[in-house]
Amino acid sequence: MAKEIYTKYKMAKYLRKEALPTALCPGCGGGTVLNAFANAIDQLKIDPRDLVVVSGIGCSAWIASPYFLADTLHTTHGRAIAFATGVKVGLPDKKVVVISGDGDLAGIGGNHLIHAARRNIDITVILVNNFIYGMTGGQVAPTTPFGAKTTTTPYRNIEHPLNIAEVVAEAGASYVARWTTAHVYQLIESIKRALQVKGFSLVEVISQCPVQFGRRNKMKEPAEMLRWFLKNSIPISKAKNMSREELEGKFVIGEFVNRQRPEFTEELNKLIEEVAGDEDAG
Amino acid sequence: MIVRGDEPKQIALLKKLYPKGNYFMQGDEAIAYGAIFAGCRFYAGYPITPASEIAETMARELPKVRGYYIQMEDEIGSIAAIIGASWTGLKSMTATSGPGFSLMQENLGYAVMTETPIVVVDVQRSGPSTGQATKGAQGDFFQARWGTHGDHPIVAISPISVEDSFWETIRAFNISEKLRIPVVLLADGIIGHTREQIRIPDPEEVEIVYRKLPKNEEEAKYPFGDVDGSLVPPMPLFGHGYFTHVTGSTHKETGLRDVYTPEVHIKLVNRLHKKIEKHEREIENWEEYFTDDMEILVISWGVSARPSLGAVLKAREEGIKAGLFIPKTVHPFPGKKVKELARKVRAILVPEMNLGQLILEVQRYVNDDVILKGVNKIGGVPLTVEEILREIRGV
Amino acid sequence: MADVEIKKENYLVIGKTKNVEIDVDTFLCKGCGICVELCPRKVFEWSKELSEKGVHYPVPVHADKCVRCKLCELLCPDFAIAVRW
Repeated sequence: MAKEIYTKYKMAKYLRKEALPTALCPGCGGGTVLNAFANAIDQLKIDPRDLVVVSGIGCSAWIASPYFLADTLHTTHGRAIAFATGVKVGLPDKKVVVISGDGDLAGIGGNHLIHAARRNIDITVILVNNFIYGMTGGQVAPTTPFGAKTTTTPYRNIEHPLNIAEVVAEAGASYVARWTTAHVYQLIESIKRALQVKGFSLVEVISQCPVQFGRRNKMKEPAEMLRWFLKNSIPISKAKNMSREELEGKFVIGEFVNRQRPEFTEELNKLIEEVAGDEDAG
Repeated sequence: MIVRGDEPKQIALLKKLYPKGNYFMQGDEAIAYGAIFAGCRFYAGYPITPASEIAETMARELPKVRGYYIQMEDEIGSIAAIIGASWTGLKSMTATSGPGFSLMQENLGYAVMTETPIVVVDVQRSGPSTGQATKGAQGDFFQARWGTHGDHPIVAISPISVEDSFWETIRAFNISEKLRIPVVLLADGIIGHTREQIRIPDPEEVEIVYRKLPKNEEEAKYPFGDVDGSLVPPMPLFGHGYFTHVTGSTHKETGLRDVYTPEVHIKLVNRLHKKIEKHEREIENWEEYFTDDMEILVISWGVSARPSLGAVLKAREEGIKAGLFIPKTVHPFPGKKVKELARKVRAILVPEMNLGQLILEVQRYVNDDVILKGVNKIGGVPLTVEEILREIRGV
Repeated sequence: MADVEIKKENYLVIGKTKNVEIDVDTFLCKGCGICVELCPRKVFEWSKELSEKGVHYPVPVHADKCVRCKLCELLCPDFAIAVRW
């Protein structure tokens, strides 16, 4: 554990110093997401005391928990969004953020993800997609590219990945965006917007896992994976005119949805006023 | 404090909405009203027979007392949401039956490990699997104790009537708040769906417990440490600037994960167990009848308790010296009391609507020279006074 | 190597020019190489010695070429780099 942190980087003030250095692998995109998140909080001048961060199980769930200094709830695999729902209803004035991984939130937790989007509950989900189950050693995930090698697809992956951002946008979210860790400036702006939108917001971050994914797919250096992201990212405006086959293996980046819809906790409190208000009056 | 500091207003509200007096309602409804009187203001649930009425009652009544009802997409989400809500300071509950209870086990263990006060109602129905969905049973006794993995303690309470359901639900909340542990209310589909008369009290007659909060910044640093000898840590709620870290991984007293040092795990898990052992006298609850002079002891619980009482009364009329012991807190099991009672008798009968579960606990505390026999009935039809009486005569 | 002052104080590697100061915390740095590879101006070079962690770490040898884009600072997964002016 760190006795003293020497870095002059101002964003380090948002970290739980006693837990540093992080347990993330060298070059893990998760660290970059933490960096972007800290920058977003800082730029919006959000006090971490007004923040509750919820995570599940997996490397990405470790990004903010325990490293980010705020009230943090590290829950069971796949269920972070369900826990966050209870937290948000109980603390409607705080910003509730879920930072967890693709296998966690969209694999085992897919159901909760879809329904939170449908409900449009005011939580911000930063879904870190490294298209692998990293913490357990590199097994195939619902987001692993077709043909990729993983420990449980030692020959090649015969399934096609899920397009998480698109699915969540359809389900009713107020704000959905996808970026990669290489697009760190856009990522910060997107996280800021997601935090400010009233309603369910999702920022899917394509992130490098050099040790479990990259190493088995000829990209063992983090920088190689970042260059791969940059090379294969396609903005939505262009992707609109491309077919599904052309988009296979590419990352469609940009903001998919930014809209206003009735928000869950607001509607819930409105209902309570209607019912209890009557009772109060007589 | 019932609910976040607005106690007087809440009491006035309860008096107006549910004036003291006699009501006619199902066990499920009594559980819901009991929860409301106990201060429960957050319910997340999923429909399942025979517990849906609890959700329906909560959905209707909670908004009236400014409480929150959410219907989640499944049982796992339901128990997750109530744990999250508990950390914001709300007393929370969910209700389900066998299949849903099976789904909830992982997060139930999470609540034990993170010492989160919640109440989980299992309105037991005939199993295993989908079973006889609409028929009551008592088959989840050991699931409540050991359903979730690992060495963990649990507190489980089983009410014996509709009115008892009201009060035992309140007691469940009080225990869970006092000891920072999830409490399972082992109800059943028969009492759940039977309508009986129940007296709703004046809310001021009801004793309410709220969890211990940290007295100062220093105490808030140890959300999982013993600060005052009670083995129950203070609970630094979210939203107060404490930067509390809660995790299901083995953790130090500060809450930060440490899975590498064996002593940390040993200390934590032992404290979780000792926390319950230490307060056993406050958790235990039973009813006993004719246990001063008895030759045959009947031990029964939940829905089988009243037919057992009927049988024991009839047996006494026939001159048989039968006694009755009804444990209401079933986990931790009142073994010491059972051992003490067992010394007085030559036979013990255990009527229950399963193939023999509570009897296994009894067995641990009883010598071989005592006849131990279960009066087991499955199939969804409750035990009758006659069936139990026949066994008493026979032994 | 125009006006770049490189020094190492304890864990901190400092590269200073009149326009910018780049600091690298070698306690936090895990030697992943993202900054070295992705800096558009090739400011960093790998150190010759190993840090306490046993890895080579980035040294801002060409800090005079830095345009203060802060990509290294933002991409660093370990909060080890600070670009200040």
